[in-house]
Amino acid sequence: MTIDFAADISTIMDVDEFAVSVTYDGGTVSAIFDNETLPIEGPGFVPIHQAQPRLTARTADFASIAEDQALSIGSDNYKIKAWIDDGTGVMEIQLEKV
Amino acid sequence: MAHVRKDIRDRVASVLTTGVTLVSSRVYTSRVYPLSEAKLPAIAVYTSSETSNLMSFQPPTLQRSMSLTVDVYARAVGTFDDDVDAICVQIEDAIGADFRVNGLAKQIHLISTEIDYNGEAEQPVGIASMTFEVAYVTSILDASTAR
Repeated sequence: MTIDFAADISTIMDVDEFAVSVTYDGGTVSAIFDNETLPIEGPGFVPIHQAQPRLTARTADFASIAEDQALSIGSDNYKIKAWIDDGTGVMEIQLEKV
Repeated sequence: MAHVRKDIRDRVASVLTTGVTLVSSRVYTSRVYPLSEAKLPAIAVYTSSETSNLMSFQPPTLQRSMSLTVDVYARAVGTFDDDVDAICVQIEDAIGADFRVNGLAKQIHLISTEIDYNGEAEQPVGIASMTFEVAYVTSILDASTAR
């Protein structure tokens, strides 16, 4: 029996399930947006609490991904700063808020 | 009566509130809670350690050497490193212009600066920790009055 992994990813990346619409590269793709607030540590006594925007997306939707490409989610604008492709057709993209 | 250490900490915070315009009066003393985005850029002042030795028997006098830490927190796209350095300039100039801490100390001077950057969050963050050495003198019998 073969597992249709691509179909599973498409289901997860559906805006009716876990994903949101992302405006990117002149079109719209769907991806899971995570914006958890995390403590940023440094040499100071106290940390800074900052949001950490990340996008989990189909690798195929970001085939020509490059640093500093723009995308928007709702009314918020971001730049792509880094990404990790997990090799199964899914990538995590690190965003910088503009 | 407050310890001279508190008076020095408060004086430095006051000088920085006036002199470091880049943080728009966001100067905290001994802050222990995290800083949110709305509170940046900011400065926090701590008196973190102190050593002392007997300066004279008559009158009994302590010569103290205190580490005063000024932490700088900045967040910006593209200019986070320049912003940290610009704030450090204003801190050094403001504290340098109050070399005797309004008469509370013999002298204050910068002994080290540690800087770190972080790009994990939605905007880059720069944090600097500046350590100043403060020399001051009190009577052994009265830690609340500077000599």
